[in-house]
Amino acid sequence: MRNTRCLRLGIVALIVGLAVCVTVPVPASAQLPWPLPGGGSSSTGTGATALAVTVLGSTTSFASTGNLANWSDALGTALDSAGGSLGSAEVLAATAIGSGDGVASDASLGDLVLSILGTQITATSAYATAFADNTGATGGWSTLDGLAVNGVSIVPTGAPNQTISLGAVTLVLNEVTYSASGIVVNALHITSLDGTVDVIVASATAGQ
Amino acid sequence: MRNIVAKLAVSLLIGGLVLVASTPASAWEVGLDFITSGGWFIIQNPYYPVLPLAVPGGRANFGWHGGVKNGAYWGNGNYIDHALGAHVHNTLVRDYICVSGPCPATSHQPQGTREICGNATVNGSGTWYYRVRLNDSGEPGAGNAGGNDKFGIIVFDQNYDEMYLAEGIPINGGNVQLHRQNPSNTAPSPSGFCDFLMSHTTFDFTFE
Repeated sequence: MRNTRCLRLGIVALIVGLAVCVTVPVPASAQLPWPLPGGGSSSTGTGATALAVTVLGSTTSFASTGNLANWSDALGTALDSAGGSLGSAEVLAATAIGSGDGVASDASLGDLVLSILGTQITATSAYATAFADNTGATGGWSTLDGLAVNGVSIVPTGAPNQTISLGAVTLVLNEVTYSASGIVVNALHITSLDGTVDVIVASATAGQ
Repeated sequence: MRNIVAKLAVSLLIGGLVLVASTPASAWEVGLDFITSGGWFIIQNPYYPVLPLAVPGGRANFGWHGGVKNGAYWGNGNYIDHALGAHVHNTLVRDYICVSGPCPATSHQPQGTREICGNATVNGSGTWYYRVRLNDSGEPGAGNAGGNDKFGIIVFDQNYDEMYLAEGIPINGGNVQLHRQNPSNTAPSPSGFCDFLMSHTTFDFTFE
């Protein structure tokens, strides 16, 4: 009789315990709504670069992700600082992220200080992002804060391809370029009139 | 009848004990997605001067991203408090958790808050630990600075004593971007490191 009572008690406890375990949520598992790995179409045109400096045809890139291997990939890089003959920048970062049926990239840096052919260009922060999906839709935008040229503040309009000519150098703010393969967004693109210097600040690319 | 009630009570007790024993120590879900960011903000520190290092009104720049990729924690990050002259650099991402919003992010243009936790250096040296909380509240759009996105960082010393807290609510420029889950977002074993650091946090973030 006592054994029977213990058995019943045990069975009830087991049922209640199991019921509680089944109904109470636990931290997420690795369940995904699509098969692994890869997924999506291949992409060779999505990446980001925080700073690219070209002098006399030689380009040096800082915090550059390279291109996503596919639309389920993710790449990221960060640099404390970057410096060279033209100037410096800090907290450089770049990422490129696939989301199965779309891609996005972003690039950013802070405390930009450049001196190009006697023109001083500074900015507090630059950020650019670009995105594309498998329907061919693309988009992107950028921000540029604290921009000053030779100490004079310049407020971006926010419009794409705002161009400022300063004699020896030309600035393009929020440079947006569409092509059949995707979109490129540069927060700031500086070129020298003599063609010796080309600097791209916070560049994001998304596309096929 | 009394026997049934007694049995039920004992069963519930046993069921509860089973539940406690089977629940992982981590109280926060691992985030099965990515979050990226870059920008700047004017420092807010609601605990100043009790927690004195982050002086309100100073400027900070950041570039931080995190997530999980192929069963491992993923990310990079840099942060500068210009007034303090402190540069925090991620050396190892040890945890990535969902704080709010859909978890994982599965919709287009998701919004939510994630936290990245790990090891860092300060000004290139030492053993430090960090919690970085990032909130995506939507796209900023042209001329709207960082929208309502938020950034926060807490730094701990080698004894896990909380040394520093700064927040940008919202950030003043740049962007925080939560990305939709992709097939590479497979879960690592929950590390519980964010929970561990939270247990050493006296002065916590003021946003979720």
